[in-house]
Amino acid sequence: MSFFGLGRAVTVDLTHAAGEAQRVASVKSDRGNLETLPVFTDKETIAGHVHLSPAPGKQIDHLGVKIEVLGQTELYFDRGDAHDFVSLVRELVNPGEFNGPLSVPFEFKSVSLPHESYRGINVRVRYVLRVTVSRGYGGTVVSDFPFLVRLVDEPPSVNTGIKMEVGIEDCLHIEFEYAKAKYHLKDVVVGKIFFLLVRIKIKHMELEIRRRESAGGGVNTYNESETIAKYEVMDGAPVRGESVPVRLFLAPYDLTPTYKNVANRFSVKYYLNLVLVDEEDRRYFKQQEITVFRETL
Amino acid sequence: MSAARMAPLSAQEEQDKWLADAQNLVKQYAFYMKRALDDNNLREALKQGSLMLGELRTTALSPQKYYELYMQVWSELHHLESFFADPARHGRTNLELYELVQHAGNILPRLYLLVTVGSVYVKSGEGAAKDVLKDLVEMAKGVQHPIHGLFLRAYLGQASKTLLPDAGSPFEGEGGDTRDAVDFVLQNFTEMNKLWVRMAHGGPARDVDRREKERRELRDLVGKNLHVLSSLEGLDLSLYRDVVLPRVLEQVVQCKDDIAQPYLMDAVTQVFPDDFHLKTLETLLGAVPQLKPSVRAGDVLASLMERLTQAAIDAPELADAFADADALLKFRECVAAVVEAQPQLEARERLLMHASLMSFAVAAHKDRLELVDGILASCASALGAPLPPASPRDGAAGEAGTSASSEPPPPAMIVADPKAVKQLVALLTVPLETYDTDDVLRLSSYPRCMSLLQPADARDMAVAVVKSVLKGSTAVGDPRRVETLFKFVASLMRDAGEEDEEDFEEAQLLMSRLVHRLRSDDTKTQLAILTTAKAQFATGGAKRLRHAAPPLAFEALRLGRAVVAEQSLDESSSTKTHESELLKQVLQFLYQLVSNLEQATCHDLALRLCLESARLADSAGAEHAAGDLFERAMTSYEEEIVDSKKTANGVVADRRVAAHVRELLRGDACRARGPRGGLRRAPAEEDGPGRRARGVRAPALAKVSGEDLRGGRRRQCRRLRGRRGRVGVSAESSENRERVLASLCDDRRGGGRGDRAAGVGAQQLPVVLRERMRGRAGVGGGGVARARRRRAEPARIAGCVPSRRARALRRDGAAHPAPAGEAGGRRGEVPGPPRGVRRDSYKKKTRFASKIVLRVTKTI
Repeated sequence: MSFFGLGRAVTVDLTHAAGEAQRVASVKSDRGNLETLPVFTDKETIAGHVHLSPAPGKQIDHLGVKIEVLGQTELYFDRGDAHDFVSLVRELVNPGEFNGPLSVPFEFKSVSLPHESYRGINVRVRYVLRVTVSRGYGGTVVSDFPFLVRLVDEPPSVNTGIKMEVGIEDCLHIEFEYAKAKYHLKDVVVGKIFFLLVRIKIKHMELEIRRRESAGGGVNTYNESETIAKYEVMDGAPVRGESVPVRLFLAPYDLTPTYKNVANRFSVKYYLNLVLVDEEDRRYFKQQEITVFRETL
Repeated sequence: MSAARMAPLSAQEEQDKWLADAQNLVKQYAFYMKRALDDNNLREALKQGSLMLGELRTTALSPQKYYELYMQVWSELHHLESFFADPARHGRTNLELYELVQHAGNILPRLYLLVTVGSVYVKSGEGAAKDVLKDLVEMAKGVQHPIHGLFLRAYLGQASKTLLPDAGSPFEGEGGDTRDAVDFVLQNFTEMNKLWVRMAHGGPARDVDRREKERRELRDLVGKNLHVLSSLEGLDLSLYRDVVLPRVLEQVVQCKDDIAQPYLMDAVTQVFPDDFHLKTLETLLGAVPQLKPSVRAGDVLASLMERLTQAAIDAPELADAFADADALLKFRECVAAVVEAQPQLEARERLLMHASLMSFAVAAHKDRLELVDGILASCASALGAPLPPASPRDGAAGEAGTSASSEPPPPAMIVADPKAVKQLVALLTVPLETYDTDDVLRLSSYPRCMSLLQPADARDMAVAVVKSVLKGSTAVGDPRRVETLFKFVASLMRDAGEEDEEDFEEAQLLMSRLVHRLRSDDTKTQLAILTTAKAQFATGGAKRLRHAAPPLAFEALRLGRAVVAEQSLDESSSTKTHESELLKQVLQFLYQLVSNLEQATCHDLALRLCLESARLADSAGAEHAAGDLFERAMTSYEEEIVDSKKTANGVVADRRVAAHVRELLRGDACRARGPRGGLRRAPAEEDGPGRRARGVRAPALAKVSGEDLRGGRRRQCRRLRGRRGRVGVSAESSENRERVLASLCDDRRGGGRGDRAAGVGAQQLPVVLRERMRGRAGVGGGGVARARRRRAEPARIAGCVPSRRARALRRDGAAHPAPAGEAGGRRGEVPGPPRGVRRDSYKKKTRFASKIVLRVTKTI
């Protein structure tokens, strides 16, 4: 950043202790392009070096350099009300001056990172490492280094399938069956749909994955649903007695685990929505909630 | 945009347009896809490939157009496949690829890609064939659109054809065994068939025809699976019997589809080997009655039987296998079951089945005639032909009896449909072509089957039977067979419906020829045969007898001669009695034939026959019989020929008579000269062996001529009886001849004439004759007649002229009463030779002959 041609007095950079071995993940940035960010999980130690490089030939006076770990939830409709649920600070350099590149190690041991990073429609959870070089006269330099937090969930001990018979009387009766109700992010939805009665002319059938985000609380609850995936599982009109297999890979879709009441601010739920479309483009559907969890980082 | 302004396109044009659009898009996507492939850009290639395959999602195209599009896409998929097959280019494992392509959102492109990758996956050896194929065929269930599904599965079938874990294939073992391959193909087949059947449903009823047509175009896609099954190396009998066939048949029966059922049954029949069919015939046939009633089970059965028939013909060594499998019985049971289950079955179908049964029976069990007969019986029953009246003589009657039920049979289906007629004729022709006459005639149900035909067709069939008998090498040599034969050709023996005159003549000509095929070496049997034949011909009425009489006569004469020949060879007395008895019967037969002919107003023929018979009798030394016959000939000549309208024939007859008599004389002359002739000479004139022979033979012959020969002619009988006591044997025969001559001279129309004739010398006979004719001519008055007479003067003596005149005379009714009425009155007046005068028969014969010869020569 340069102000009035002066340029930035100090360039701040940050490297993680793990170096190349640091886990990373690619996510979409605010601007819509992909960025690769380091990934941490709960109780991990966040360590590394902060590199301070003054502009060549300049001496930097400062009132101290600190680094913070910040975890925030933000409701977009209420921008000002970011809620920090994690905030840790380390002083890196005492007030003074330097005139050459400076590398300072830092370490946050076993940081409690209770929530996953999340970017939704109305809400997000973000984490940053913020380095602040405090200077007088408004010359304070603040650099944010975002990172991701991912939490591995306990695999569910009980994971029974979903089986249900639904229908419209004398018109359509189907029975669907999914092998599981809980899926990890790279999982495959395997199921079968039995047609017990078909009196309408079905054109095709698809399976949708829908995400339902409910943010805020009380009167200010904002519910948003979006369709993450549309997956055609049948083409044409089946007859009575047919069964159609379903195999939907979840990997290609940008799913998150199911979040329940994160920081008392929001929840995210996933649904499998079976949609039958008839020749007049009427849609018949049945939605089933599934639980998504993270099996590995 | 411009579509609104355009004239509405016809359905065809619309199809073309859609197809062209789709093809352009396919070309375009294929181009991008190939470019991505060149860059080894998997993601982009998959994307473009999906788009290309997405064009197959259209529902606008007819199956044919869809096929064109499919073929275009199919050829482009090859590029993708070879890309997938090269891991260096995309850097993924096959399993990864297999998962990756399943991310495609639309099912149809997804599955095409999946199949493509799947085949690479199996080929690489990474994926077990059975698992991958099973997965593919299972996933393909997601396509329920009939046309989309059919083509997708066809693609799957094609791609997997070389990947099946068949015995001996590289994919066997890890990748499963033949059983897995069979399961896979069967499942694909089942699903395809379901889709195919489903095409028939839905959509407006007016499109039914079009849909059926479209379905027929697609049937080979379904049938291909069966073909793949049959070409599996590891498909052995047990696998076929326990797995393949039951499942295929289950599918066939369950689909309840008019097009699929016959097609698939036919396909099963055609693609699997014969010995499989043989071993599983029961199962296969068990499915036939379960087909829809609207399905032509007959066609299905027929095609199966044809197949096996061909097998039996190609490999005669299979015959045992056929017998072991009891194939024919099973077929018959099945046919019966079909007939039972489908009362509405058309005659054509029923016949088709039986015709095939017949072919099969003949091909597989040629030696078992009773089977053929049984088929005929069941065929007749299936069409409700009435049972023949119980005839204990028929050996195979039991077969026919089994199919009879206690309730009254349904009315016979008289076969009128041309196709059905063809079937029935074919059915009936098979035995004719296969077996020789004798065997065919043992088929007791044959006539019953023929009774199903319409009269005209039945006649044609009968003609065919006759022709085959004529063509055959063996003669019919058993009276019972002869009777049967006439049952076969019964339709030629009765009038039914209008019949073309020419056809009738032709048929009767054939029948006449047939007589010559009725022949036995045993003289007695031969007589029985002839008697039977005559009785049969007699049932056909005069117009048939007319045709049949000459051959019958010739046969009888031949027989007579044979008897005589035997007689002369074998001198032992026991046989002689027997032989002469036989000869007597032969002559009696001839005599009856003459009577029959006369009744049929074939006087011309009767006369000739009479003369021939007389000759025979004469040559056998049966003088009385010969005399009787001569007399009869003369009577006949007098009464009928001369007066007959068939004047021209009359002339001929005259000549013949003359010729016969001449022959007769020559015979006597021979006898006078030669040693053999001497045997027949009168004992008074000669001695030596002739006398001896005559001495033995004479009484029997006398008996022949005296009592039994005459049939209905009591008049002559009495006369002869009156004389026998007075004259010797030889004299008696001479007397007979004399009487014949006398009767010739006798004018039966007036008592006075008779006296005159008696007094006339033998030399004067021709004159008498001539005068009589003149006299008759004179009676016929009237201008026209007179003019005619004048014109005819030079030929006045000719037989023709008087006879015509005589006719004119009779029409007048004034000249003399009808001969029949006079018969009684004249009897006593017939002049015999002076009592006690022993005349030389030879001389009389000479006179008679000279008379005739004279007349004939004059006529000419």
